[in-house]
Amino acid sequence: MTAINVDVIWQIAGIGMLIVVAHSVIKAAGREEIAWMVTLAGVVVVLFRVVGVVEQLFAAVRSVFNL
Amino acid sequence: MPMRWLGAVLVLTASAGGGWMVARRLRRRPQDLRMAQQAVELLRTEIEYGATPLPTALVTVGQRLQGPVQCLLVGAGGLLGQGQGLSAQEAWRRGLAAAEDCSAWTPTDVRVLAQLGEALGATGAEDQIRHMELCMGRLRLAEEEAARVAASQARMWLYLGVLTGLGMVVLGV
Repeated sequence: MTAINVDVIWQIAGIGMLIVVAHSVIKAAGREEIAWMVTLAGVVVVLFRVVGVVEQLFAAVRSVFNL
Repeated sequence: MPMRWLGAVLVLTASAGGGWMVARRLRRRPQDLRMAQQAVELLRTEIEYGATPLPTALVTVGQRLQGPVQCLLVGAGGLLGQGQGLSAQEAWRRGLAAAEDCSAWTPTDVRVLAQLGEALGATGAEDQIRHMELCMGRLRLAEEEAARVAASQARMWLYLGVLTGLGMVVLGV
């Protein structure tokens, strides 16, 4: 069983913070629709990052229960 | 590891620089448009009260100003003064093409100036003055809009440049 890479958590936290700042900056400039698009893009990027980790989790669960 | 950090710094600098350049262009546009208005106003004075010939008027006004309008007027005036048989419209067009590269004008602004060029030296003084007044009005509107855009968006581009760089660094490191 491989250990989960903790860096992913820091990456996701970092992206979250950046997206929050970007959203508020763009919203303050009066482009709310673009602000939401950026937020959505951030969510998609994070999802792509998470997919690998979730796959690892399922593999671990499967191997633990011999499924 | 040091190479990695160097790369991160480079990516961050490039991205922040890109955002800064867009912001600077947005902030320069109202300034450039104001200069263009001043140029047209001075040109009108030269034609209306001074009855100066067009090549001299263009160069005289151009030398009094700075930035892209100087390129435009001195360039067009110089081309006309060389006596190569160029029409005023063609000289203005070439001057405008040279000035466009070093200005923050948008294609719409350039079109307004190009339309003025079509009337220069082609019709009577009164008609030219009417065209100049129309051009000044349009430039004033464009300047107001540019100032509004610069006030709301310049800071956004500045921040977005840095944030994009940070995002790339976070994803890449």
